[in-house]
Amino acid sequence: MTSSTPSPAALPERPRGGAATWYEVLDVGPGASPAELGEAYERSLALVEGRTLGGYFLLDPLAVQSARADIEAAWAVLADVERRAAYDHSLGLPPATMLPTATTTTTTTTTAAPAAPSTGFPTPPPQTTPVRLPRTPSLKFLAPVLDDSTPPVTLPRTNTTTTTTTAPTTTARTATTTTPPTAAKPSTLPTTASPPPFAAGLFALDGEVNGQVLKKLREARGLTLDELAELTKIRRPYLQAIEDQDLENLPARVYLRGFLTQIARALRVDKTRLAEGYVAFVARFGG
Amino acid sequence: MSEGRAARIIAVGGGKGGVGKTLVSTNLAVALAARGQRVLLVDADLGGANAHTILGIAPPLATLSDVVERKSTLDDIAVATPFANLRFVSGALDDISAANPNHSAKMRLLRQLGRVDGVDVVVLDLGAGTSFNTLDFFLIAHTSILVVLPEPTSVENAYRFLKAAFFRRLAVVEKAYGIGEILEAARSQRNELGVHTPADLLHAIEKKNPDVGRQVRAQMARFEPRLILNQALPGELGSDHPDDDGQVARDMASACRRFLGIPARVLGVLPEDDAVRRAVRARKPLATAAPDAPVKRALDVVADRLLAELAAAEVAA
Repeated sequence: MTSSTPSPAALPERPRGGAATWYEVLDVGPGASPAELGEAYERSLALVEGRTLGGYFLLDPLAVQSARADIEAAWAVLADVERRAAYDHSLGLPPATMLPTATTTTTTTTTAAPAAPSTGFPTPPPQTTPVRLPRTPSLKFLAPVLDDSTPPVTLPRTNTTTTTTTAPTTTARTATTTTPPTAAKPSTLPTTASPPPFAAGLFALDGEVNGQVLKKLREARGLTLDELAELTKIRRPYLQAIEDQDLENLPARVYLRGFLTQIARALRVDKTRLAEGYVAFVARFGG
Repeated sequence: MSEGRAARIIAVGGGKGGVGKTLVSTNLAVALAARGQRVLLVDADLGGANAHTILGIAPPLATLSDVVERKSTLDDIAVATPFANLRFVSGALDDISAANPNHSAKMRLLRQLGRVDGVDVVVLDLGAGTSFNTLDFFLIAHTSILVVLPEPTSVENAYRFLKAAFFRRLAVVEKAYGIGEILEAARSQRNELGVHTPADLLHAIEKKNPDVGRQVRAQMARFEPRLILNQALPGELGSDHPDDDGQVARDMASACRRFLGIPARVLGVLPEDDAVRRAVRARKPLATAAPDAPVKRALDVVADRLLAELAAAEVAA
């Protein structure tokens, strides 16, 4: 399977689900700030993936996939200043700058180092308002005081949102086991060329996001696997498989992204970078 | 409301047993009656009727089966209760044929429901499950209320119930719009058509015939289930956590709108309250057994909202 970076043309024109607009998909108003969008995006994913109680068995696995595609597309349009402006225009909305923003005070926080162009993430277009990490109300107790050397990572969102729905999510696991072992695919992935990032680079996730990086991040936060399992409510064998890049035992793709988001929250790094980076990394090996 | 106008029907259902359907329907009926509405409470839990116990009255001798068998009319079998403005009809059906009325008998019953003299509001207490009986009663109501608990089993069943109700409603209008073929295709080759949710189905119909699609969509948009979350707990002890149980109901309504294409709304959140158990044991409604209990006050809020909706419907009519 391929993980593609959709061009604007690849984005669907309208949501597939019950929502009429991309704003409705994320359940936000047209004046939503980037911070509100980020929070709504995360909440929406948790809902359709059944990670919050209100979404339990809301959708069957294939429907989860199309709902997620809606959410990702909504994010790809609304988190991008230019696309959002064009979309607003098509809806007949006034320019976003003229709409009242509920959380103007929270949008003025700082940004961190931009991603290096060699990371596989396209450099995002400059955004007038930096995307702040969404608040994580349900994990408030997880937020210990940050030490000075690791300022909160608030990277601008890139446009690498995956909107492809071709990935057979429910069969992802079986697929890896039934595919004939043509090129002697290692079941545990090698860590590739890029040197393990350290310090700020580690938390900024500006290199390849592989299992080793996740492990280093976890250790840098002083967490054991068991503690991470406790924090994320993800079973330890899954966390182990993710860190070991153990394709055979990775959670099904339909859950993997959700798990990675949870891990990112617990490790207090950009959830999109972590999830997309890791998914892209695994995808290169046919996972 | 004036005589001769059809009563508004409020149905209270929920996919799962034991979520508090009878609690909600009975106490809402009492609350609406206390607000001056002339209310008929119908225990339509055809297999397991027990609303009479919550009201603290003896099970009436004449029941819905007499209406189904044309021995009496609804008006005849509606008994008075200790509460002003509130009459009661028992659905206790011992007779198997009456517990499973055929379609025409059921339709006749449903038509009669709105036409009992001197009744402004009919409150239907439905049984558990997703049988056509339950779904049809749920769908014919002007206001369909789904009671949910903040538990995975209840949430799962609620979604199943809503989807079943949606498809039942669609099946009823199927002939009128000539969409039987596409419904069949959606059922048999789900993956080929890519229909996984009600929203998908509406898109598929629209794609085939935009005109029909618009009409069906308008028809289905009138199915606006209301959610009541029962036994809700506040956030973690001593925290001002925003993720309390009420969020479950808000999430569900939002998810229904966004991802199922069902315009659900939250009608109320009822707190977990020991008063409920005390009232049931005393065989009295909350208004009598625990007038100051938090759950009673929450039900009053729901009753006021319903009253406002009734008034709005009156204006619109």
